[in-house]
Amino acid sequence: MNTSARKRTTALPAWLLQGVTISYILLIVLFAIAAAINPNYASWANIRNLLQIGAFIGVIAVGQTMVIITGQIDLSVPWNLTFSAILMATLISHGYGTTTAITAALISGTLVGIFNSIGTAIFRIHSLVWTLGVNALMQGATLVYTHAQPPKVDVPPLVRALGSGELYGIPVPLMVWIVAGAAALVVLHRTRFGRYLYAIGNNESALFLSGVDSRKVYLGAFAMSGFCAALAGIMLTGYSSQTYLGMGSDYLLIPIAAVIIGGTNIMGGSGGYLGSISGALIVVLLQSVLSTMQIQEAGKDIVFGSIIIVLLLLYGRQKLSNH
Amino acid sequence: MAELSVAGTSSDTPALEARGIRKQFAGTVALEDADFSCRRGEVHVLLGANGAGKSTLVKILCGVQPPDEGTIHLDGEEVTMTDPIRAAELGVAAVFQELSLCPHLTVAENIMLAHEPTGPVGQIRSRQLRRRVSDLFEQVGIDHIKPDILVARLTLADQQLVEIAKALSHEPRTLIVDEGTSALGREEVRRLFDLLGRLRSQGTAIIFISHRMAEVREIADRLTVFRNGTNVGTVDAADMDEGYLVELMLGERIEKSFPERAPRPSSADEPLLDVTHLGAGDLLDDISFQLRAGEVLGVAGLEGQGQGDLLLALFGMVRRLSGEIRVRGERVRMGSPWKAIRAGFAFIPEDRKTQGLLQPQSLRENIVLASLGALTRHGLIDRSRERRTAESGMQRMQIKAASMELPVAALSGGNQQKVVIAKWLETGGDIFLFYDPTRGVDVGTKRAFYELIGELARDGKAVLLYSTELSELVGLCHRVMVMNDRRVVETLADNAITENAILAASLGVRERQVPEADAPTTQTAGGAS
Amino acid sequence: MIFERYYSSLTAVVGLILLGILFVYIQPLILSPFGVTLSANQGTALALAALAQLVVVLTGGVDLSVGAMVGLTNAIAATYMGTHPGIATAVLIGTLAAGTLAGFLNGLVVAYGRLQPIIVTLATLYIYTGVGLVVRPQPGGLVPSGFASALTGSWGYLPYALVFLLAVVGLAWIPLMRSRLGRAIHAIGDNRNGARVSGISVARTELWAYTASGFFAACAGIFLTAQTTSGDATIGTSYTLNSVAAVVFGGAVLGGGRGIALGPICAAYFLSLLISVLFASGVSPFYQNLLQGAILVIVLALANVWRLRTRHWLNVMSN
Repeated sequence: MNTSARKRTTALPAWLLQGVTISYILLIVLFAIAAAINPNYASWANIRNLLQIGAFIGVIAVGQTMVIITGQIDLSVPWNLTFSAILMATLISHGYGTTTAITAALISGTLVGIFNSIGTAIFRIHSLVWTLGVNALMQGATLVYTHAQPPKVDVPPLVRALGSGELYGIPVPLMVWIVAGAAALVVLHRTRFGRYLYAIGNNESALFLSGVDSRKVYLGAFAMSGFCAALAGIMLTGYSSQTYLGMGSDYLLIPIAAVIIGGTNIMGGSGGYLGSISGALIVVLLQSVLSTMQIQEAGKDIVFGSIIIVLLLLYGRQKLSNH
Repeated sequence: MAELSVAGTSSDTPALEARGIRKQFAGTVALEDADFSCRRGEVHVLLGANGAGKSTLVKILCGVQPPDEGTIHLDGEEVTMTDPIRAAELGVAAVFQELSLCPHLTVAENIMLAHEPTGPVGQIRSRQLRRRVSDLFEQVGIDHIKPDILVARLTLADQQLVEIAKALSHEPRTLIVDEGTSALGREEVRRLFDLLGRLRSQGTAIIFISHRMAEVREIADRLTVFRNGTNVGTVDAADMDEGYLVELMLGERIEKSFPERAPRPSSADEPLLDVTHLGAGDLLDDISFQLRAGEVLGVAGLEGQGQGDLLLALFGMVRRLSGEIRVRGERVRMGSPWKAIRAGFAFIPEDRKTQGLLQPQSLRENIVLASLGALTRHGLIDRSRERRTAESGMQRMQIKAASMELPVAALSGGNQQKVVIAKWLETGGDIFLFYDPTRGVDVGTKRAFYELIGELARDGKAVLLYSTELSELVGLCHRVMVMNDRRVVETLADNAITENAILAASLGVRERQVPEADAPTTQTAGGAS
Repeated sequence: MIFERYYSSLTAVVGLILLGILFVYIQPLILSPFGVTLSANQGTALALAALAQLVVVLTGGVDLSVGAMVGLTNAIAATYMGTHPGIATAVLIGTLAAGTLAGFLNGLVVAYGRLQPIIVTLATLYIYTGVGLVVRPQPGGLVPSGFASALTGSWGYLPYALVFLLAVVGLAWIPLMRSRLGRAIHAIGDNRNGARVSGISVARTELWAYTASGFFAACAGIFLTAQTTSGDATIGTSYTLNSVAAVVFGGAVLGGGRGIALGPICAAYFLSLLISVLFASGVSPFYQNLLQGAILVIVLALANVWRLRTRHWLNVMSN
C-alpha cells in the first residue's frame, strides 16, 4: 500500500514526499524507543489499543486533511462531534431505531460542515475564526438541547460495536478507519474533487478561472469534515458507552496535529492522507507515552502545541524556499 | 553604432552610481551587470520596455531590495542601503509606481510615515508633523489637498501627488520618480515638472521613469535605455533621436515579425460572438461588437480604460452585467466562468502567476485542470487519458520540459504561459480571450504566440486579443477596437490599423504629427526619421 | 482630530447606550451604585482582552491565544499573590511580565518564523493553557481582599473597574498608538508592502504588536483575578472568541489597518451586558452560549456582506 500510494503522489514536490517519509520514520523511531523502554509497548494488546484509539483521530483527520489541503481549517469539530453524538443518543432514548439515529447524527454533522463552508466560501471569513464561532454555536446548541444533561441511554449494540467491537480479532473502529482512510486516499488522488482540493489550496483564482466553482469545493471539504466529526462522535459514544459534554474536547488540536505531523502543509495545496495516518499514530503513541510518564493533560497540551510550532517552522520554511 | 559614448563633459563624480548590479527573482534574471549613473542637477530619464528591469533598479537604488551582486556609490563613496529609511538618510528617496500609501492613514501621516517627529518619550508630535506637511505642501505647490484627510478619500491623481510629497519630505539629494505621472492630468504634470525643475536647479539629481515620450522630451537632460535587465546606452537629450531610442528599447523589433495573417472572414458570415449593449456599472458602458470564426479582434486603449474588464466580463468574472451576449446566435447566460466555458470561451489571464497556474503542481495537473470532467470515468480520473491529454497539450504548445511531472514553477516564464494556453486547447473552446499575453515574455515565446494566434484563427477559432503592445495589435489583428472611458470609441479594420491610428483613437485625438509608422511586418530602418 | 476614524465605533457605542436603556427599563435597580459597578466589572476583563486582540488585528493578524494568556496570567496571579502587600505587588508585576513574555513569544514565531498568525496562536493557545494548568491544576488560589476591592469596588457611581480600564488605556494604549510603533502597526495592516518600502520593519512591528497583546491580556487576567478572587487556567477560553467578536463589532477590520479602541471597548461591555439583560428578562441560562455564538457568527457575517456585492469575482476571492 505504501509504494502504490507513493506513486500516486509523485506529482507533488519532492520535499513533500520527504514530509510523509519523515513522519513514518518518526513513527518507527518513536515506537522503537517506547518499546525499548517498556517492552509491553510492542505487545499486540497494546498495538491493538493504539490502533483503536488512533481510529477516532484518524477518522476526524480524513475530513480535516481535506479542509487543510484547501488552506482552511475546521475548528468546529469538538462540539459538532458532541452535538451529533448526543443527538443520536437522544433519538435512541426517544425510541427511534439505531440506524435512524445514526443517520440523523451523520446528517447533522454534515449540515454543520455546510454551515462552516458558507462563512468561509461565501462570506470569506477566515475559517479559523468562523469555525471557532460555529464551535461556540454548537456548544450553545448542545447545552440548550440537553439542558446540560446528556441523556442516559443504553448504547445499542451497533454503536457499541463501532466504538469497541471486534470482528475476526480486528477492532471494528480500526476497520472503519481503514475504510475511511482508503476512501480518503482514492478521493484525494484519483477524483476530480480531490484534484480541486489541491488546486484551491495552491491558487483558488486559477481554479475558478478554469471554470470550477470553488465554493462548491469548499462545501465538499467542510461537509466531509463535519461528516467525519459526527462519525467519530458515534464511534466515541460506542467506545465509552455514553455521551457526555466534554467528549469532543480532546479532538480539536490533536487531529490537526496529526495532519500537520503527516506533512500536509497548513497553508494548503500539498500533502495527503497517507501522512495523516502516520500522524495519527504518532500522536496516539505520544499521548500514550506521556500518560505512562505520568504527564498530566496540561503537559500534553504543551507538548502538542510545541510540536505543531516546531513542525510549522520546519515545513513552513521549506514552503517558502520552495517558491 | 554599437555603444553610444557617455555624453556630457562634466568631470565631477556622479551623485549616484550603480555598478554591475545583478538581481534574480525565482529563476528569472531582472538585472544583469547593470550600470547606471546620475549627476547632480540633472534629470536623467530611464527608458525601457516592460520588464526591462527599470523598476527593479529603482527598488535597489532606494534600498527596498538588496542587489545580488554589484555596488552602489553616492558621490563616489560605496554605500550599503539596508532599507528605505537608511537610503533616505543617505539622501535617496523614491516615488513608487505602485503606490506605497496606507489608505487609512491621513495624508500627513502617510507623508511622514516612519520618520515622524517624536518627543522625549517617543510620542509623535502631531502638530509639528502637520506643520511640516503644510510647509512641504506650500513649497511643492500643493494647495488643494488637506493634510488631515484619509488617503482613501483622495483621487488617484492626488494620491500620486501625496506620494511625490512623501518622497520629498526626506529632502533627498537624489530623487527617483518611477512612473510618477501616469495618473496625473496635464496641469498636474506641468506643476510637477516645474517642481522638478526647481529641485534640479538646487542641485538635486533626479531619475525619472516615464513612458510618455512627450514628457520625456520636455524634462530630460540625459536618457538611459534599459533592455533585458541591462544598460544598453546613454545619450544627451540634445542628441535625442526618438527612432533610435525606440529601437534601443525594443531591440527585438528588428527580429520581430508576424506570421502571415489568415484571411479576414467575410462580414456576411454569421458572427460567432455577438455582444450588444454590454454594460457593467462603472466598469463597462454600452459595448457592442461582433466576432466571427477565424477572426482576430484586438482591444486597445490607454491603461485602464475597460479593456481588461471587457475580457473578464465576457468570461463571467464580472457580476451583474447588462446587455446581451450571444454565441452562435444563442443567448448565453453569463456571470460565472463555468457558464462562459460551456458557451465556448477560453481565457488566458493577465497574471499567470496569480491567476493562471498552480505553481507548485505539475505540468500535467495544470494542463488538464479545466478538462477533468471529460477525463473522469465512473467518478475516477482516467489516468492514461489524462497523461495523453497532457502530452498532446505539451506537444501542440511545444512546451519544453523534461517531464510532465515537473512543477510549473520550475519552467521559464514563456513556457509557463504556454501551459496556460495548453489548458484551453483541451476544453474545446472556440472563443479565445487573451489578456495581454506577451507582457514580460521573451521574444522567442512571443513569436510562438503570434503563430499560435494565427493558427487558432485558421482553425476557425475566434480570438479577442487585449494587448498593451501596439505593434502586436497591428501585426495580428483583423480589426481593433479602441476603448476609452469604458466604451469602445473606434473600431479600425485592415489597413487602417496602424500604431498611430490606435494611439490617436486612444487619446481621442486625430493628429498626425509623427510620420506614418513603418509597417511592422517590414524591418524598421535605424533611427533616420 | 480625524472624525472619520470614529465612525467605525458608532455601532458599538450606540448599541451599548440602547442596551443600557433597555436594561434600566427591564431592571431599574441597575441604576444603583451597586448595579453600575456590577455591570462595569462584568465587562472590563473582556474590554481589556479586546484591546489585546485589537492590537494584533490592526497588524492584519488574529491572536487566538488571547484567552489562554488571560487564563495563564489569572492562574499565576491567584497562585502566587499571597497576602503580603509587597509580595502581592511583585507578583502583579511578574504577572504582567509573564503575559508580555507570552505575547513576545507569539510575536517571535509569527514575525521571524514567517508563519500564519492564526495557526501559531492556535498552538500557543494550547501551550499557554497547559502552562497555566501546571501552575494551577485546580481552580482556586488566594487573592487578598484589599486587591480585589481595589479593582472591583466603587466610589459612588464610579466603578474602580472603569478607572483601571482608563488607566490601562491612558498609560499604555494611547502612548503606544501615539508612538511610531503604533503608527507602524496601523501601516503594516493597511498596506504591508507600502509600509515596507516606506522603511518600516514589518517583522519588528509585528513582534512588538504581539508583545503588547500579551501585556493587555495580562491586564485582563489581573482584573479577572480581582473579579473572581481566584485563579483558573481555563477561565480565558471564551475570551478568545469574544474578543474577536468585540473587535469586529467594534468596527475594526479583520485584515488590518482600521480600528480604534473605543469601539471594541464599548462592544465588549455590550456583549457582557447582553448576557445580564437576557438573564434579567428571564431567558434560560442554557441559552447563553448559544446566543453568544450566534451573535459572533452574525457579527462576522454582517462585517463581510460587502463581499456579496462586489462586481469582480477575483476581488471576492482575494482575502
